[in-house]
This record gives sequence, C-alpha cells and structure tokens, in this order.
Amino acid sequence: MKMYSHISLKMVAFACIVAFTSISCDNPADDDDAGEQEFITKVTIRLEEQGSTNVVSIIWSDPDGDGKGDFVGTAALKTNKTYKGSIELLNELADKPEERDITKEILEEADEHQFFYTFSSTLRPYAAITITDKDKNNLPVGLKFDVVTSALPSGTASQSGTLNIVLSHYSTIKKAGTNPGNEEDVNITAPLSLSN
Amino acid sequence: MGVITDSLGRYELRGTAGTWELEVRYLGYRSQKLVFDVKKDTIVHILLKRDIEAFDEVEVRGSRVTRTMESTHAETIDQDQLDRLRGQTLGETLSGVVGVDILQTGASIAKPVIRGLHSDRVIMMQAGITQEGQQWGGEHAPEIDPFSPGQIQIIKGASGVEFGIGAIGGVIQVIPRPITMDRTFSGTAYLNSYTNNGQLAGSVQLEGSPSRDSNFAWRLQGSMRRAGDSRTPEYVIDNSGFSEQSLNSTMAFRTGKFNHRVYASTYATKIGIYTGAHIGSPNDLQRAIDRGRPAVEQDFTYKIKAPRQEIQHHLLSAETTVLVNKLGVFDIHYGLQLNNRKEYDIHGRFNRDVDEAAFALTLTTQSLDVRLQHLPVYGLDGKIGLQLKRQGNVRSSVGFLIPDFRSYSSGLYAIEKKEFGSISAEAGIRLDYHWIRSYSVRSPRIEGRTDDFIQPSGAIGLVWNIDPSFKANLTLGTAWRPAGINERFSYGVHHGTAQFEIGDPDLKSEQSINAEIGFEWESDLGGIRFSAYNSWIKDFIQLRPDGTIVSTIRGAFPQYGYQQYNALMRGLELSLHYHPVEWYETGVKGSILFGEHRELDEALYMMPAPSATWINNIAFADNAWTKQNTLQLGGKIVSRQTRYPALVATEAYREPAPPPGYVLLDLGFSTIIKGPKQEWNLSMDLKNVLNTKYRDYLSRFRYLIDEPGRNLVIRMTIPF
Repeated sequence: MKMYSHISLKMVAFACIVAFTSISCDNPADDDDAGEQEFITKVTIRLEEQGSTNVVSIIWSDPDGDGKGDFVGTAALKTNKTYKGSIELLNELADKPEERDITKEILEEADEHQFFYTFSSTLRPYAAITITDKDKNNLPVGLKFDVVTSALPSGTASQSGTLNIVLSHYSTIKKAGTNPGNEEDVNITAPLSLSN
Repeated sequence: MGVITDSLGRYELRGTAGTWELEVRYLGYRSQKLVFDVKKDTIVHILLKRDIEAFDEVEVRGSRVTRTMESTHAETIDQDQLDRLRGQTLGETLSGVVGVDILQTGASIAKPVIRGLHSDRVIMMQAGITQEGQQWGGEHAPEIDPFSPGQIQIIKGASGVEFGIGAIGGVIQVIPRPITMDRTFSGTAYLNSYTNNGQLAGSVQLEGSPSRDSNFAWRLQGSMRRAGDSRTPEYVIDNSGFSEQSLNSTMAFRTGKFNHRVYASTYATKIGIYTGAHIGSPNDLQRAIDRGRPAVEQDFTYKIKAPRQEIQHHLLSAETTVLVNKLGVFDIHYGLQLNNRKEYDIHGRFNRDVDEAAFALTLTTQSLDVRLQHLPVYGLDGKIGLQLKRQGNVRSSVGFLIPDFRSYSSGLYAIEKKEFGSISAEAGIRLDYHWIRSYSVRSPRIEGRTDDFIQPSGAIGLVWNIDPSFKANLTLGTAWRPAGINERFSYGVHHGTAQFEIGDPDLKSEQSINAEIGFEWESDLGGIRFSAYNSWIKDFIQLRPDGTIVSTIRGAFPQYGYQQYNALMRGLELSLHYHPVEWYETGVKGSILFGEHRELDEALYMMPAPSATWINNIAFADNAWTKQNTLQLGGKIVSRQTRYPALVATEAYREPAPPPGYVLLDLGFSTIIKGPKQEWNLSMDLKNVLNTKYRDYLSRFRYLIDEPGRNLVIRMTIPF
C-alpha cells in the first residue's frame, strides 16, 4: 500500500512536469511570410485614347496589403474622345509569380463575375461606358470596355466627379449580365476630372 | 452501540473492557473497520479516507459541498432536469436558467450569456478544468457534448477568487456524471429528435467496475448528432445544418490513500453558417437588411457547405486526491486541451479552392491546479490553492484573425469560512499573474510584443440562515481579465457585420466588482428566490464605431475600434413556484437588466432585453404502464430592448433599432414507461406551438432572417 502511494505521487508529479514542458505541438512564431493571402494590392485601369498615343491611368493601391488603400492622384479625361479601356488587378505580395495576376483568375471564372462601372451624376451626361468583352454565356464581363466622352456645356472648362468600379461575384445567384449580385469582390470609387 | 460525532468530529463511547470492532462511517468517505482491545479509557483518533466518487455523488445532490463559495449566487441543473432540458446545443440547455440568455448565431451556434456578459467574460469549466477554445469570438460556441454533463452549475457574478482570470460575468461548470464503484455493468441510451431541422441525436453510455467492491470503475460515452437546415415559419435557413460527434471516457481508481480520476474526451463538430450572412461590403449588408430574408430560397438539406466552421476539441483531465494527516484533502488536477478551429469562407476570392480554410487556429492549453481543503483550524474551514496555466496559439492559414501567442498564468488563492450562529461568513483573496507574448505578423503589419499583468481579486460573502426554510445572502466579489488577443490585435473587415475592426495593443485589463443581495424561501407549498445585483466594470472593453471611414478594395467601411470605459450593470432576478395541490405546479421566472455606459451616459450595446417565462405542470395519475405523467404548458415573453446606444457608424449607416418583443408558447408531455426491468423516460415538447415569426436582439442575424419556427422535440432515455 505504502509503496503504491509513493509510486502514484511520483507518477503524477512526473507526468505533470513532462507534459508541461514537452508538449511541442504548439509553436507560436513570428510570421514573416505574407504567404498566400488573397490580397488585391493594386488595381490599374488603362484608358487608351483612340487616334493618339495618350494613355490615362487610374491606379488604386494598397502596397502593404493591410486592407486600407486609396487612389494615386486624380485621372484626367478629355472631352470628345473615345478610350479603349482595360482593368488589371494584382496581388504584388504573392510569393508565387503565377498568383500575382488576379485578372487572369477573373477571366477563368468570367461567368461568375461582372464589372459594373458607374460615373457620378456630375459626369454622367458627358461620359458613357460600354463593356466590350463577353463570357462563355455571351454575357458582359467588363475587363475590356470603351469610354466615350462628349463636350461639356459652353463656358465649362472642366468637370470633376468619380467613377465607381464594382466587381460583382455570383456564387449563390446566377449571373444574368444586367444587375450586380449580392457579393462584391471590389468596390472602389476613383476621383476623375473631365476637361476640354 | 453507536454514536454520532459533534461538528468537530469528537465522539465518546462507553462500554466494558474487551475486544471491540468499531465501524466508522461518514458520507463522502470510505467506511472503516477497526478492531482493538480496550483495557482502560482509550483515545482513538480516526482519519477517514475520502471517497472521491461518493463525494461527487454528494455534489450532485446539494451545492453545499466544496467548489463554490456558499454565498455566491449559483443555480444547478441536476441530472433529472438535464434529461428533460437537453437541447440541440449546450447553450440552449442553459437558456432556462433565470439570468442566462443565449447569444445566437443562426440555429447552430449558441453561446451562454450570464447577466449580459459572455465569451471572454464567462468561464466555462468541463470536468474540473477551464475549457479553452477560441472563446473570444461571439460566434464560437462552447465545444462540449450536450449529452455528457451529469450536472451543470451556473455561478452568476464576478467570481475571480475561485476561478481566476476571466470570471467577470460568472462561471458555467459542466460536471460529468458521478461514477460509482459498486455497479458491475450498466448502460444508458439517449435518443433525441427535432422536427424543425430534421435533427437526430443519440448517445450511448456504458459503465462498470470489475466487481461490486473494487478499486476501479470505468465509463465510456459516445454521442452523435446530425441536423439539417432550420426552418423559420416562412423559409428554410440556407446552410444552417450541423453535425457533432464526441467520445468521452472516465477511469476512476484507488491506490492506497490516493483516489485518481482520468477523464478524456474528444469532440468534433461541423457547423454550417447561413450563406446570406457572409457579407463582403457595406452595400451587401444594406441589401441583406433591406431584403430581410434569403436572396434565394433553398430547399431543406442536410448538406453543410461553406461558410462553415470545423472544430475539434480534445481534452484530458487527470485528478488525484489524497487525504493527508492533520492537514486535509489535497487535490492535484492536470489538464491538457487541444482546440483546433477552422473556418471556411463561402468562396475563395476568385478561383481559390474552397477546401482551404480561410482561418485555422490551434490552441494548446495545459493547466495544473493544486488545492488543499484543510481541516478546520480555529473554526475556519476553507481551502488554499495554486493554479498554473500555459497556452500556445498557432495560426496555420492564409487569412489573418489574431497573431500567434504564448502565455503563462499563475494564481494563488485562499477562501475561508466561519460560522457565527445562524450566520456563516466567507472571505477569499487571490493574486493572479499573466504573461503573454504575441508574435509579429507581416500583413497586416503587427509587431511582436510581451506584456504582463498582475492583479488581486477578493470576495466576501454572508449567508444568514434565518430558519431552515428561509435564508438571505450578501456577496461582494471581484474579478479581472487582461484584454483579449482579438481586442488587442484585430485588424480588418469582419464579414457578417461589414465593419473594419481595429484592436488596441495597449488596452488595460478589465475589472469588475459585483455586489449582490438575495433571499430564498422554500416551503411545502412553494418557494421564492430573489436577487438584486450591481456590477461595476472598470475599463470595460467594447467595440464601437469611431467615426472614421476606411477605404478598402471592397468599398468604404466604418471603422470600429476597441474602446474602454467604465460600465455599470444592474439587475433583478426573481423565480417563484407554487404547488397548491398535488397535481398542479406553476412557476414564473423573470429577469431585468440595465447596462450603462458611465462616461457617455447611454445604454450598453447588446444587453439582453427583459424577459419572463411561465411554466405550468399538470400531473396525471400513474397507470399500469406509465408513471409520473406530466403535461407541461409554458410560455416565454421577451420584450423589445428599448435601451440601446445610438451607434452611428456613418451618416449613411447606423445600427437599426432592436427587433420587437415576442411571445412563444411551448407544450410538453413527459412520462416514465414501466418496462419489464428498467424504466424508460419519454418526453415530447412542442416548441413555438403557434409557429410565431420572431427575431431576438441577441441574435447575430437579427437584421437578416427570422428565428426558427415550430419544433417538436422527442427525447428518450433508455437504461439497460
């Protein structure tokens, strides 16, 4: 009996000490690897002016991928022009080069995505946007588009406003090509100006 | 010849010289037989060995024995009540207790709220050790099989002295069934079914010991649960099914003076989360609120898709108790827990594989508690204890929620009690130290840092036993907790609320002082239980909009920061039951709580609304086949929460007003079927009889969808 007691006391003490010091499955550590987070760190809209070599760029950037991002400057459009537009989304923090280009991923899932571009009311009378690309169901995607501007009223040299860019993701409801879905992957609003 | 000792254990036996056999018995201790030759007056000191198993049996019947301070406000749900109440989640099982509400995230996730406080502010104990999961999350339910408890004790109010860091709002103790060494083999099967979500749940428990008088006993219990989508009166809640499997085993044995008990359990669950609650942007949220129902109506299914949670919780609890001469009972308790939580998003952002968890966290916790329940010294009865804890949290996913951390805690406490006639006085004191190192994260940029906290807690309690049926109590208790890891380091958009949440690494610890008076009166005809409390919380931590707007890739989000201020929570709780005739009993329970932001002079956010329940039990005569036939008619009334803060996040978005109050009616019947050898318990409960459409302020989805409708619950307990 006596011996049993000693054994169990020692056993308990030993088990506790061993366990307390040697459970090695938890190894909290510093995380220096941005790894495979699904960031969008940069959105670039290129507007190529037709009949010239001018290119207008609208850039949204969140270089550290912390979620807070903003536009770099205010893009300026000219009246009475046609622009061939394209949008590019990047994850510059991706370790694997093939994961940097998010545009490609959207293209692969084009039937579940659609971009919606909306000018603010101040610009809407003078600027129109038309999506030119189609998915496999012949519905608009919005990676490619045309922007056509018209003349401002006489006496107005320039007009400022915004362009809202929404990337709608259709996972629970079916894409019909007309209305946004109920999930937004991107929703940013770029400052713009339009002048003669 | 026999004698009963006095309260100090003194006894005297008068007899003639000769050989005597003395048998000593005491409830909770092993009886002992001593044989000796008596020639003259002899003093015999007898030290009884504590019978740990019988001791637990005592604990089940009355709450006077150990563990809790007698003066604290504790409510117990015993085995019989549990068998009748057992719900689809542990939270639901607890919801009948006055002052306990449920923080609901859909039909599948329920978190107990004690007097308005939950998560990091309530300690959950399982098999004697503090349950450690990612309990900081409001949508993280306790990882406990609702079939496993033999008894649940709810301690309301700050109880930091006995339970340590975190016991700000109270403690929920899930106590396994007592295990006895005098049964060779027995088993019980439990079966539950719920019509609303097509749920089936069952549990089988086997136990035994090698012989009727052995030093060893074992138990094995396995439970399973499978639920499909819940249904509101009007539609199916898409992806609200869940599944749960668990296995637990207990071994109890004696070696010499030692009593050992080893409890091991493993629990796994998969919980679907309403797809419409996955909100990517403020526009999505507004659309979901405006719609007020699912975007697409789905058919009922058992399938669980993303978004979902998958959690595994493994627990090992090993306890040794020994009676040491002239000192008292030593209790050494080691605990090891492994909590593995994975959360899956509705979709990867683009074509990412949805089988990859968006968040994965593994928390490993070890704890060691050493306690001495000492023999009375100068009329002082009490215990002293030391608690140690080591934790490591590791994230292994692409998404960021909280940084990795390692922490150590230690606490030293003493609680003593003394009787002064009809008044018993208790006092306790404790000192806790907490060390935490949080590790750096590259994106979002978070620096690693080390912090430590040291803080005392105290408690005083008086119980006045006016007469055997009437007692009054007065309690003063304190508790504290350091700011949680999420409160310090959150950074990013919270899906489901459309908030950009930012933690504050420099948050101070939170401290609460709870003062409470109560009385209890019980007679053959009925009883009353009343309590009034006042809880001050210094540096109460809460997430509030700070008025700024964050521009992100998914739109502009209102920024919410963790802020600290002083809060005051006051409340009343009342339960009455009246038993005028043998066949009828009626009871009413109600609670009301006021939470106040002391600095802004406004109401606290997400406090439970006043509510009351009414129960009527009508008993019918036994017959040849059944006994204890009872018809139960009950109702619950919850008023609209009229006290809420105007949380104005932006000009465009402010928190909508709480949903209206509601009344639910329940109808039930329970009986015991007399079998040839054993008795079967059968109960049928029709919940929400009128299929009332309602929403609850404490539900996370209150602005998106209705609560589930009518539900017929059938429960059976079959011993074999």
